[in-house]
Amino acid sequence: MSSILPPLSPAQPSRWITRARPKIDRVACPWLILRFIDAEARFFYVPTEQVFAEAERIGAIPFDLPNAPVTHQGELCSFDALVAAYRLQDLALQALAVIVRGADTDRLDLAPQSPGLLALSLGLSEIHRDDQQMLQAALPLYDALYAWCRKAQGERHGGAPKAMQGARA
Amino acid sequence: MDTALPSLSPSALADLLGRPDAPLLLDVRRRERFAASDRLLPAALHCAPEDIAGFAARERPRDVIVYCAYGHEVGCEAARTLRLAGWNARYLLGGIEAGENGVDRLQDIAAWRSAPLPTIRKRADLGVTGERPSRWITRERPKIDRIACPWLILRFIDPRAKFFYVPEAQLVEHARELAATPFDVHGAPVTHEWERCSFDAVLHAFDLHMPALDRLADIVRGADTLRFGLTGPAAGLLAISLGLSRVYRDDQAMLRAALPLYDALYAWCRDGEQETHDWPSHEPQGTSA
Repeated sequence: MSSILPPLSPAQPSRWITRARPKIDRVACPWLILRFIDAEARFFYVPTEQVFAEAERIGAIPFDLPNAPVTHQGELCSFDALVAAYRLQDLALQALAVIVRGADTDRLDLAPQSPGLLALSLGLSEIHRDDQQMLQAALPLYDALYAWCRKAQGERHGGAPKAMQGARA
Repeated sequence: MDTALPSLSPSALADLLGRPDAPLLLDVRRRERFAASDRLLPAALHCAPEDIAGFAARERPRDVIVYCAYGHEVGCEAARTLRLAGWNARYLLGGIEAGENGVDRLQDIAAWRSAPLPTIRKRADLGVTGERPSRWITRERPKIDRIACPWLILRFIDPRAKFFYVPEAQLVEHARELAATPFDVHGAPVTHEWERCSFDAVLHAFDLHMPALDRLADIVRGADTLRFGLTGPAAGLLAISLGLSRVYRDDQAMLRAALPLYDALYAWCRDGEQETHDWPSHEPQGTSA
């Protein structure tokens, strides 16, 4: 793990900073950090050109932009980078990472769920102009997607409803 | 027409329809005229002109848009009454009829009618006339259609609608007790028909036509009937819906948690569908990456 990254459950809340107007990776990474790395973490969204200066000023870790310690590498996105850096050995997280990567890097063929995640993320971003509100609104979406990755991958949905018992159709 | 009174155009109202923070839409047509009409604007409540003062005093003041038949004195008077009671009231230019021939200016009528507002059909048989909250009932443990339909009803049909989720074996009995309309179950007045799902059936029942809702209907139908080829986001909607159902064991909590997702999906259907998102486009101009 890069020494700049905080340990799991750090004594002091960790701080993370990235570019404004998050859509996918810059929301998915905070979700991953809050649920698996540091429940008390704080996130800052600032204009791209201010990320590194602000990071230094407030002691935050830059992520999801070029030259940041946590960012895209090759075909992998920042979410992948965090999963790898913290060695999160969780099959459901690996499945979620593929969905996020597909949505975030415009490779919608990576997972059947990627186009839906992209559509919902763009829609949330349209509704929430405030980045912190966007993050709060998106967290339940990732909770649900992770719950599906964990338990429901084999579950089918029944399609047409069953008969209404006692009804005269 | 009262120029000092805040108003808005049909196209400005069209842009607000279905949004989670949309203002209340109040139909203030006179009783006889309202009774003679079989249409409403989406999600409108009716309040007769003589009842406005009481309504304004009784309800919590908020943003409201009033409309009458033509946007003349009835709507203006209602807006004025509401404003005096502390409401942020505006009236709809042209009313639901988009202007009155021979009274309004021709160019105004032409502008208002160039992009007509969507309307919904009153369905007294389904409990929807704009006069009192409708009640709907379906099977418990909702996943997609039984969440998507309530979203559609709350945002476009009746913002005061109540939903009940009950065990399937008790549905008929509860529907009778609660005077609620069954949906998404065989034999219900609103349910699947052939390859179309209950969401489609609601749109059809209320004769509601909006291109963004048609796009959303494709996604819901694809997710609900496992036909992911219909449209890209369907498989993702299914996964998230099944996941939500795992997270929320309480059906009302599931509904509350899912409403913002449908708001987002609808926003995408309305505005964002052309947009893509990929890493290279992140690169800020002039940055040495």
